Amino acid sequence: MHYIPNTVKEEKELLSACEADKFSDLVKIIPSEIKLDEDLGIGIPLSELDIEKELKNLSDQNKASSISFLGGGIYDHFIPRAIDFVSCRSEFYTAYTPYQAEVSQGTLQYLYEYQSMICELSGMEIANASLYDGASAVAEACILSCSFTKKNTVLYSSTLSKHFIEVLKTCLSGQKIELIKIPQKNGVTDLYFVEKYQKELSSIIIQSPNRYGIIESWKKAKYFLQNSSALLIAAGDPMSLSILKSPAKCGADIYVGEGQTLGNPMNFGGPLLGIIAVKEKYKRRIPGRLVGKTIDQNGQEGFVLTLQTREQHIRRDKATSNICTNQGLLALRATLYLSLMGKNGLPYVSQLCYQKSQYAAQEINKLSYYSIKYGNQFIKEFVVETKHNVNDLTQYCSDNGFLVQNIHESISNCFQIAVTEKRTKIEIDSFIRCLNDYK
Amino acid sequence: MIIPANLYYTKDHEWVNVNNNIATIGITHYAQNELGDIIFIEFPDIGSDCIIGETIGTIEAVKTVADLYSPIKGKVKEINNKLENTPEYINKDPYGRGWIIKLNFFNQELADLLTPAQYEKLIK
Repeated sequence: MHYIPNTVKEEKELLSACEADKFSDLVKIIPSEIKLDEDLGIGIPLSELDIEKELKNLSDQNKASSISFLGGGIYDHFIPRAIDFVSCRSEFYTAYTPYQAEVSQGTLQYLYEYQSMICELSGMEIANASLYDGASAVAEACILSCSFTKKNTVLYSSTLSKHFIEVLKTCLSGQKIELIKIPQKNGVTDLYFVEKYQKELSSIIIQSPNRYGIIESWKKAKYFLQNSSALLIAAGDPMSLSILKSPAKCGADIYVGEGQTLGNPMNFGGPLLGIIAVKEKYKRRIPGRLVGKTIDQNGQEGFVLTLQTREQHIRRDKATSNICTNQGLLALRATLYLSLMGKNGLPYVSQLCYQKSQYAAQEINKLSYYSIKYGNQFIKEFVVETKHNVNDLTQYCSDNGFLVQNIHESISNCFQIAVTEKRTKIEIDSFIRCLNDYK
Repeated sequence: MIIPANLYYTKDHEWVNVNNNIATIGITHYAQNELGDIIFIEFPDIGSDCIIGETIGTIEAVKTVADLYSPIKGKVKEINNKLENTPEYINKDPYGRGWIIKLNFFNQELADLLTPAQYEKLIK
């Protein structure tokens, strides 16, 4: 109990108020068979100096100098230092996002700016103040589509990111919603499969760029829904929206995406930023918090949470979602990133990714044991087929300082590469030499 | 509280005006007063079936939301479209311009509805 700053006297007072003599009396109600009666296995207590050395030894085991070609939903983009500086200011840096209008105008304003920027990127009319991650945003979009259409069959493309599919299945397992997988052909969704489901459908989910990095056509997907009341849920990396036709222009009803790419670090796969934006007609069904701009009694501009009757603290069991919280700090970082990059910077980053990844793919395709699996319709990520054993190859790359993703699924002999704007020509060339050297 | 004598009522604070086999439904003066400023009504689809006690719509006020329950069995004939732009009619004129839904109904199962006197007793 060393971290609770009570004096011995205070501790005694607290214990006597509980009619206990010592701390262990308070926890004696816990059955002894579930109590840990051995040591935690983390060694003896150490001084601050010793613990620092210990942690340094551990962190030195990281391959921090490795060059990342990892992707699969989380990407190694450049993060301007100004983002860390502003987001770590104590006014923003809190574990809980404060919403109370009287004391939180700064927070509410940046969330409002965030929502506006997401609307501009996606072409949608309403964006919420963010969700946990892209995967749960996909699930929330499905729930929205089912409550709007009063139907309960959702078709999802098998080219959705793997973790999107897994979370989708988990979130919808108790919801009486039937999930059906749309097969794929040459790395893209086989939309002809959709035709036989038209009538009972609540929505279809199509991701672009998809899990293999390939650009899919939301517009074509919408065409397949023309005789149906089903909603089109467009999923995708918000970064790519700077150079692709927007989901709204392609006829999508809902846009969902993973916002990690907008100024948030990869960490070890989280925390992430869930983006959802919808057409105005779904505004009473959208999950989570919405910040609105208003005028106070003195006619001054201000920001407040709005349309809260959708939420569980008011609508209880009939709320649009069980999630009323958001990723405020990561949404702040995305807002800062988008402001710093601006209308020219964001597409420029995507263009750099495109040029560098296309260059990498062309060069890899020239190597004798490698070929590009699904053509060149990608922005920053692609699948490589090899005659080598993939596990041994990716281990070899890792040993030589290059991190690549080995696809764990039915496609054998393939691995995936993401090339962001951070990768230099020298890095790409030396990685290609590494692939070529592997025997 | 205004409780017109020519209407039927429910314990969920709705009123029903029966005319041949068309029933007009709204919420009572008491209900609108309890909810406060009403800002949005969610209607059922025209032609959809209504079962006694099941939700046929929602009434959204500034700080709360209430369900509208079907007081009788029937089919939705008409909805009050004007409430989409002027939901405040429910506050201002709950028994007139603030009507919500008209139902076609078949059996005269009105026995379960409350009389004005019974309703008055309920809200006392």
